[in-house]
Amino acid sequence: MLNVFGAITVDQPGLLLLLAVLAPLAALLVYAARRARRDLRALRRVASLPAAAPSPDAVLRFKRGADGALTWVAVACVILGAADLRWGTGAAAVVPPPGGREVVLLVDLSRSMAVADVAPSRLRQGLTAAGELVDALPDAPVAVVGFSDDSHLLLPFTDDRLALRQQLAALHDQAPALGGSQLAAALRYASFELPGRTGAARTVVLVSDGESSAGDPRAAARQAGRGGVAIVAVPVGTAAGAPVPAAGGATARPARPAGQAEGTAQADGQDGAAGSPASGEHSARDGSAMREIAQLSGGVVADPRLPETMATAHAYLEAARDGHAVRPAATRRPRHAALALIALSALAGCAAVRAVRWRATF
Amino acid sequence: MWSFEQPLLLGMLLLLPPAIYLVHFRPGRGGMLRAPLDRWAGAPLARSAAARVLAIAARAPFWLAAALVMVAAAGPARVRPDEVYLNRGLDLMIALDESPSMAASDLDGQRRLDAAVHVIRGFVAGRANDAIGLVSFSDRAVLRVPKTTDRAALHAALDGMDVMSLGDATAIGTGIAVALLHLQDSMAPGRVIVLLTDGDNNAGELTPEAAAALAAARGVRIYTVGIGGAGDAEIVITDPRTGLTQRGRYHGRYDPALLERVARITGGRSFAAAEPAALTAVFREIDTLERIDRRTRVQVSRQPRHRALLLAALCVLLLDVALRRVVLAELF
Repeated sequence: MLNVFGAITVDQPGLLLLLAVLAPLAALLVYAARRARRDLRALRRVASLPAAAPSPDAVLRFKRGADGALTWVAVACVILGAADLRWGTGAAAVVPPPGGREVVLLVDLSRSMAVADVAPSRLRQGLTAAGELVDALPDAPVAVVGFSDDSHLLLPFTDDRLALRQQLAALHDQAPALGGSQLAAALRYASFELPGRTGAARTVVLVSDGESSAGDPRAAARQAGRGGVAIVAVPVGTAAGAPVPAAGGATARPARPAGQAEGTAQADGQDGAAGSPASGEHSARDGSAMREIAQLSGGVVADPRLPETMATAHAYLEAARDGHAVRPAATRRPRHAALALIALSALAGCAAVRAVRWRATF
Repeated sequence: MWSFEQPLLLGMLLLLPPAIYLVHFRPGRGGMLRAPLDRWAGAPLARSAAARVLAIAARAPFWLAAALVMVAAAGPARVRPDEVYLNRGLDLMIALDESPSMAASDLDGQRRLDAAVHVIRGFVAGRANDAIGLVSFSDRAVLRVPKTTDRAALHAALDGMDVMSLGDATAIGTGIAVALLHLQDSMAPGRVIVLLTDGDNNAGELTPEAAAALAAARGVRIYTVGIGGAGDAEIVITDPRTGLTQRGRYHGRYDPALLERVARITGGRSFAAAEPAALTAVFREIDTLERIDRRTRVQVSRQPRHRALLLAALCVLLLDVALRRVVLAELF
């Protein structure tokens, strides 16, 4: 979702790229008008066509111009309507979900989660924080999904907190998988593909260092937000990072480009707990990615090392239980109907111009 | 099913026929030159059949685009009614015996375990609003699935059930205790354990009666189901650890008095199922006994479909421009 000055939101910002067609369209219309004028001059030179008595040039120019301009406006409005522009205040979506709220604990089990830049590991830090957050919704069903190269349901939706604690304890002791981090696919699975209770509103608690090996997690987060799924991001690790452990003590991850750590560190306001080697393979927390994932979905960040963000996330989840999490996208009124009507008016103008043309031109 | 946010706007479609008539078919509308005259060499201005067809076809995209935009303005949406449960159902744990004797094939040639799994599948299918979990026990007991409404997870766990994976004895008390452990914090209006076993309690440190007393103290009812007949039965067991298969005859039966005591302590009932039909009837009766009023409401989910129409209109409009202004080079 694109937010323009906080007043207009666009649900399908990718479709705004179609507006690029407007410039060549305008050029084409101008070219066609000039060619018509040239053809008309040729027509005047034909003495054998006395019946062809064209209207004054000024009238013809007006008709050509009006038809072209109205077509252009119609095309622009159709594109904007397809992109789902929203503006103005609509009805606030604050009604409690009839099916209650359910939580998906989405846990990154990629190899980078074994990095020991925080004690005892990123995975354990994240699981501890996630466990605290879930306590904010004591009667909400919770499912646990682990992901690396694939997403796997580890615990189905249940309000059995003992089973949840057992599952989290099992993950505590589990070595992270030897795999990448398909974060975008995992977000889509947790948000939409995992079947849940009918009528329930879903919140995803994402435990990850933010690294993604494929896909666009931001697009997935945006899609989740549009679908009413908020993501509470629990970023783990440090901005400086540390070497990625691998089987046999080797490392197998490409080195991070120079300067990335500094930028992330500034964004996070954190300093690394462990220094990274000047060369070699290591993993660092992508805090900005996690923050964007939360924001794009309408959720919040719960940083285990910042108690105030944990408190904010806790309060957010408590409010979400009763359906009080107001989503900015939901408060903007869809305007596709208005834009379609404007496009329709432009098309009606085109038709009128063409109808007049029949009578006036010949 | 389809619906429209502003169905009255569909009435605009009625304006299309008169508009098309006025623009294209009105008497005395005159003619139209559609040819770049700088390439005209003075030949008679007679149109070929193909040119006629093209001229007529060139009028269609504009009106098609207008129709698509009209429908899009009306806000088409695909609607799907979903039944939402407004109140919570029961919490129900199934404690299923996995001891080797459950491999005895005396239920119409079916193994006792397979028959039980089959009937459980049918039972849970009719209880969509109840959270149902699964505990299996032999020497020890484990939670296979926590109480959940996710039936796919429950069915996957039932698929994975096999005899002897937890030892070769029958610890009924332990099985009840583990099921109870996962029910004790439940806030559901009803909490139930359904115990299925074919043997006598011969393992575990907790007696079934003691476990039942704990359940009764926590307001959990236990329904016990004794599976299997009294006679000999063919049995084939494959040890999952060694892969060795043993064949033979099995003679043994559950203790009906014990199961009766366990059920009575908790306010439940005890059943015997010596054949598949009886097992099905038992679960049907449990299903009848453990029902709570359901409050539901139909929630309609809407999936707007205007975007596809507008994109189609865009394509058709661009086609209109290309045809009229470039291919046919209309003069005005």
